[in-house]
Formats: sequence, structure tokens, C-alpha cells
Amino acid sequence: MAMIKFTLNGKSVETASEPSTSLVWFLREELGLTGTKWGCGQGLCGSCTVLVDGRAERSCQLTLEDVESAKVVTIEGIPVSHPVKQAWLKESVPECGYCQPGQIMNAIGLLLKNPRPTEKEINQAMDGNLCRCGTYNRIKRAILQVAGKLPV
Amino acid sequence: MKAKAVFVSRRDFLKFIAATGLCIGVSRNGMTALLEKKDVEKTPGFSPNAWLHIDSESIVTIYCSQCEIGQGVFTVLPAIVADELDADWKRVRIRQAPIATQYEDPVWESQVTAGSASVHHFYDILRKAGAQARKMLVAAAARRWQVPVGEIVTSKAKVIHKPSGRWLCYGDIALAASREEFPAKVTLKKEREFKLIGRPLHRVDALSKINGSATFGLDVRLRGLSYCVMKRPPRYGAVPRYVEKKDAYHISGVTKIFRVDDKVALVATSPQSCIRARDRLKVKWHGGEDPGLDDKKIERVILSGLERPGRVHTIRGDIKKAESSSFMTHEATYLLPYLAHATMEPMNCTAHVDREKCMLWAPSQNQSAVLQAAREETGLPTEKIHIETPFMGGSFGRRYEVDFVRECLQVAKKVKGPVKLFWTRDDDFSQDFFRPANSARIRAGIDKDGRISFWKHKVSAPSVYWRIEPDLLDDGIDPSAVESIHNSAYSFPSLHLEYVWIKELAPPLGFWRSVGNSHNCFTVESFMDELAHKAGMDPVEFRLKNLKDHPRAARVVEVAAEKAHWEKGAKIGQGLGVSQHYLVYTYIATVAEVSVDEKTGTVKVHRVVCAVDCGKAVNPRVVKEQIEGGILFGLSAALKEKVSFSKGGVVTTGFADYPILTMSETPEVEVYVVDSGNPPTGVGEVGTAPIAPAVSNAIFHATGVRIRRLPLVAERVLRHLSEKG
Repeated sequence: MAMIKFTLNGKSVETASEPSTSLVWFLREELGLTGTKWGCGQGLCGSCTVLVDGRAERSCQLTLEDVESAKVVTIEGIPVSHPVKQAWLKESVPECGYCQPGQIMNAIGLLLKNPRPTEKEINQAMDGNLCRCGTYNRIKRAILQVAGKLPV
Repeated sequence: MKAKAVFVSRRDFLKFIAATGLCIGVSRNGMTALLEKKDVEKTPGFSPNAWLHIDSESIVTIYCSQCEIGQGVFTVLPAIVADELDADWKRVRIRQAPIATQYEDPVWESQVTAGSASVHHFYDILRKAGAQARKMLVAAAARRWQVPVGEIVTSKAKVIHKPSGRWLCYGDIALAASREEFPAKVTLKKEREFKLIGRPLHRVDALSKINGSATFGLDVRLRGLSYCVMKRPPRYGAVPRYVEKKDAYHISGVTKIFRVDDKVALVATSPQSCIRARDRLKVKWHGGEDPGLDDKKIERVILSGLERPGRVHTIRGDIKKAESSSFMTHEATYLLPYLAHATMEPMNCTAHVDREKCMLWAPSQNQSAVLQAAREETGLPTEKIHIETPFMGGSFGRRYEVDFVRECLQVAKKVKGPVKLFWTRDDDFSQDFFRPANSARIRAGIDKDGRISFWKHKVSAPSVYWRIEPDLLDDGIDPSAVESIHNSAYSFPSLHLEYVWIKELAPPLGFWRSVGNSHNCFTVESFMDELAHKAGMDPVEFRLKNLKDHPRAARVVEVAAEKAHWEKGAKIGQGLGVSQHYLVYTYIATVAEVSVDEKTGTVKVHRVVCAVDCGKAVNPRVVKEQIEGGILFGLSAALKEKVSFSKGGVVTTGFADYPILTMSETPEVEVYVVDSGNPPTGVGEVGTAPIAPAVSNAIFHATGVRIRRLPLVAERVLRHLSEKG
């Protein structure tokens, strides 16, 4: 059987799972990386955001086939010492916390592409990551902090 | 990479309970938290009451009766115990309490996290619990040292004999303390002695939610776990007449397809197989409760309720006389839509049921109801039922219900091994217990000085309580339909309040953050603005004039107006709107700065300033977060949300047709906590109710257009603008 190979959080993964397996379920149920959340399965909420070759992507819209040979990073692959996670802690961002792994991964994706985003650019990049508890202002402050646009 | 370790046997189940029951330790910097794996209950030590345990290592474990649904109870409630105990906050472990009578809410006599009541109802109990333990530790130390109790002080989990400087850790005398007499009376700390209460402590669950380790209901993993989704009726009251399972069984991993009441359960070895099989399952549906149900019918039925007599809730004063002698009168009618909870984590539940026992992982805020559901569905006695309460990805009232728990139990009874039932996003919308649609007609007058002379208010709406707690329907009057009107902070010298119970609409209803306040604050505060405008008075001045009997309400209005620079008026191209409200024993005033794009009708809220008097702010950080979160939840509804119905069922399927507030639409929010020296009251629901009228009033201020229907979507605003011409 053909195996799909990719890199996950720095380690190589090889799986015989069906190529059409949804990445979010593979991560969560087969590998136990439940930090990546399943929120809508429609690519509309951003809770399942992971990095694929450095880009923020919705893992519910990707299959194993899509990430063949790619470098995938999930929330578990980001150390707590990472500036984005530190800013999240400092701003005390989470409430229910369900959307936060996706928010963090999306923010990291943004900052990789654009290390010093303006507020407008942050709004644009983060608009697809929904939060029902209303933590948006703290998320924005955390990102501005990492971007060096707010005093730490 | 190997799959995460899971469990091999039933016995291991029990170990799992011991090991992964939500338990959080505060780390050294006091800012972050760690999930603890140690079974704290098994260590010997001192447990003077249900709320805490001190082991010989001086680790203090505090049990939280309430569920953590994002509102911060895991941080706020234990800090109350820890303060009176003089524990070392950095060495406190926090654990979800089991479901037991000791943890019942003293007012509601049930273990439930609801009504913004956690701090309000448990403040005294938790302080006393901490103080009892402290008193026994001091008594034990006094006995050991043979010194008077009065010579001993406590600090950071130590007893200290002041004259000699001797000290012991709590752990050193924990066992001795447990032999001391349980104190009938304790002296609580004075305000100035507080070390944790009143401090903006960081949330203890933050780190686990940032590193992905926090276990939500959907994250529960067990060996041999099956998954289940339901094929659900497309309209209310429909039942399957014919089910063609063949195609669905062709999906690999599908193990079982069977009917459960009016639904069809699809069980498989992976979530994706469940979803794929459901797409292939052919069901012919039969019947329906209300096939003509659609948005138009809802509007027609709800509005027509206003034209027939209802049940009178309050008659105060002589309305006729007051009306005839009024300087000026005004009347307006409002209409509000059905709303969904739309939590980020869809409903789900995991259960393992056999003849001997029931293991349940239930993300519900209504723990007592979960236990009852488990007893009823399995027929097992309480001691054979074990329930875990995981973290919850939001609730806003949705998880007060246990429908998903019952569903899961019904499936688990027919499945060997554990099963995780999960709802897809469209299930989550179609099976919601909605905030009802509602309409109101208000007629009121003012005297020459701008004081309200009479207030006549009729509410037409389906009943929320009828299904949930029918006993609370007083003579056919739903308490939520009239709440905050009869007990408004405004002085209504004469009041006529009437409720028309709409019984002909099928959508099931539930508690939605702030419940009836979400309707009544919008209608009352919109109308107050209309009255102020008609009388040519400033909206803030007009409110203050009518809040004479409630100085705390007046105070928050003054503070919000001052902080929002109300006196200076709106910035060019903007409007300012104000509202005030009293709910869950808390006073709040909100000012919104809004602009309207007159070409598109798009409403932009730039800034929201809010003042809140919730008595003692036990954790000012969490208070502000809850108020801000409540405001944004209410703003999302005000600007965007409406559930749609057609052909007898829900047609809203997801965030594409039920968009919620995004970051770019989020205003700056400033929350000012006014300390009135009163005991703590609710905050969770407080911000939600007053934001819609503040925004709508600001739209009027900016454009001269008064909008009496929600949501304030661009299309509606544009229509009003063009009608105005």
C-alpha cells in the first residue's frame, strides 16, 4: 500500500491511512494531537489552523494527500517559549480557549509572512478565525506586541 | 510516530478518572497553569469540608463546583477559598469537583453553572470554607506549641507563632488539624486583609489552552472508541419513514446504523467515516409539527400577538389618569429574531455504558441534570455512574441542556465499548434551543420635567421556561419575557406590563446569555432614547432624571458618560448612543461610538465604553474580560445574527449563513469597574444585553434613523436611510 509521508512538528510521519483522510481528524484521532480543534469542518471558523510549509491553512480542508512531503506544524509543535505564545500568556488571551490554538497558528502564519503587520493587516489576516468569547482585542494586542508595535 | 497512549481495560478507565480529572496547578510565576496527573484524593491529609484538601507536602487542592466554560471560575472561585485559608496561591491545585450534593448551588439547590451566579452565590460559602480550615490549622498549631491561639498568625500556607518566630507548614500539621473540632463559627477577613480577592490574578487554565493540552469534550480519547453522528429530521416533528442503509454501510469503518427516536445513528471507527456514511444514508421523512414554519410566519405570528390581550404581570398606579395628565406620550413596536448560541466547540459527549456501570464525559454546565439523565437513560444507580466534566468550548447557555448527553447515552447502550457522539456544525445550528424571537409594544409618557409618568409594555413571545421549568410560569407568564421591566432601575410611577404567550411556533427555546434581558433591554433602552429625543432632552440627562431611586444605576451612567466624553458629543461623522441596565444584581451602563456608511448601510462600531457595578470585583481582570466578552457577544447578535427557518425547519447551516463578529468588526472596548462596596454579583451575562440599544441609539444619533428591528444589517439600515430620504 502506498504510504504518505510528511513532516509533523519536526518529525517524519509515515502513514498507510487513506490519502483522502482529512488532516484535522488524522491529527486528532490517529495521532492524538487534539490541540488542533474541529470547529465547523467547513473551513469557516479557523479553529483547526495549522502551518503547512509555513503557511496558515485550515486542516479540515486538507487531506493527507495534500500534505504529502510538506512540513506541518501544529500547536503542539510550537514551544511555550515562542514569542507568540508568550504574548498570549502575557495578555491572558483565552477564555473558553477552544479557538485559541487556531488563532495562535494563524498569527504565527501571519508573522512569518509579515513580521511587522499593521493593525489593518492583522485584521485582514485574522478575520477568518472566529472567537465567540470576544477575545479579539487581546489577540490583536498580543500580535502587535510580537510585531514590536506595542511595548512588551 | 505512535498514537497517544490510551487505555487497555475497564480498570484502567478508573485510573483515567483519577489521572485526568481536570486538575490544574498554578505555576511558580502564578500566571500559568499545569495539568496535574497526580491523584490528589488518595494522599492522606486534611479535608475539613468539600472544598479543599491539604496534604502532608503542603499542597492545597481546591475543588471547583462550577464548570469552566470560559468564564474563569477555575481561577476566581479557588482564589476565594485560598485567600481565607491563607494558602500559597503558587502552590494551589485546582480540581473540578465531582457531582455531589455538597456542591449544589445554595439558591438553585442543584449543581449547575448558570445565571452569572457562581461568585454571587458561592462567595460566602467559599470564604467560610477557607476560614474553617485555617482556624483548625491554627488550633492544631496552638495545641502542639502549647501557646494561645491569638499568638498565631498565618501566611502563605504557614502557621507562625509570632512571639517566638516558630513556624510550621500547613502540611506539617494537616493531620493534626483534622483532629481538631470543626468550628461552628469563623471570623472572615476584613477587606484590607485580602491577599487574592480583588487582585487581577491571571487565569490558571491559560497555559493549557495555549499549548493545546486542555481537554475539551471533543478531545476525550479512549481505547476502542467508536464515533457517532446522527442523521436528523429536516423539519420539526418529522420521523423517518424509510431508511436505506446499504450505501452508507459501504463506507469503510461503519459498524452500526440504527434508529434512535426520530433520528438515525451512524456509528463508525472514525469521525470521517460517520460523516461520509451520513452523506450516503437515504432517509424518507414523514410528517412535521409545523410544515408552514418560515421567517415570514414567525414575524406574522409574533407581531399579531401584540393585537390580542395577554396576561397582566404588573399593574401599578393609575395608568389612565397618568396618561391623560402626561405632558407628552409616545408609542413604538420592536421585533427581535431567533438567535443561536454557536459555541466554537460543537455539542458532543462520550459515554461507555454496560450493565455494570456508566462512564460519561459530559461537556455540560448542568451537572445535576447530567447525572439525572445518566440515571434515567441507563437505569443504573448513582454509585455506578461516573461523570467527568471536561473543559467546554463556550456555552452561553447552550450547555445548560443535556439533550446531547441523552443522545450519547442512548447510542452507548447499543454499542460495545466507549462511543463519542459529536455534532457537525449544521447539527449544532439545526438542533439548537434558540433565544426566542420576540416583539414588544411600549407606550409611555413623561411629565413636564422629563420624568416618566406611565409605562405600558406588552411583550409577545414564545415561552423559554415552558419546556425548561414550567413550574416557574406564573399564571401563564414566562418570567424571562418580563424580566428587567417590572424590576427596572427606572422609576415607573405607574406600570402596566402584559405578556402574550405565543404557542404556535415550533422552534425549541433555551437560555441564551442574558435570556430575557437581551430582548427587554433593547426595547426599553431604545424607547428611552426615543422619549428623550421627543422631549428634546439629552439621553444621559433623561436617564439620570429617571434613575433617582437607584443611585448605583445613576452612578454607572455618570461614569460611562464621563469616560466616553459624552459632554463633548460625537466625533465628526459618528453618533453616540447610551444604554443602562440592571441584571443579575449588577448595574451597567454602555456608550457606543458608531458611524454609518450611508452608501452601503454598513454600521461600524468604533469604541464601546462601559461602567459596571458588580459589587466587589473578586478578580478585576476576569470581570473586565467577561464584560468585554459579553459586549462583543451581544454586538455580534445586534449587528449580524438571525436564525432562518423554512418549510418547517431550520435552514441556517453554519457560519456562512450565520456570520458572527470578526476581529475587523470588533471595536475598542473600555470597561470601568465602579466599586460600590457591595458584595459581589454577576458579570457573565451583563455586557450582552445593553450593547444592542447603545448601538441602535448611536445609529439614530449619527443618521436620524430609528431602527426597531434587529439585526442591524446593512440592508436594513440602508432601507431605513432611503425611507428617510
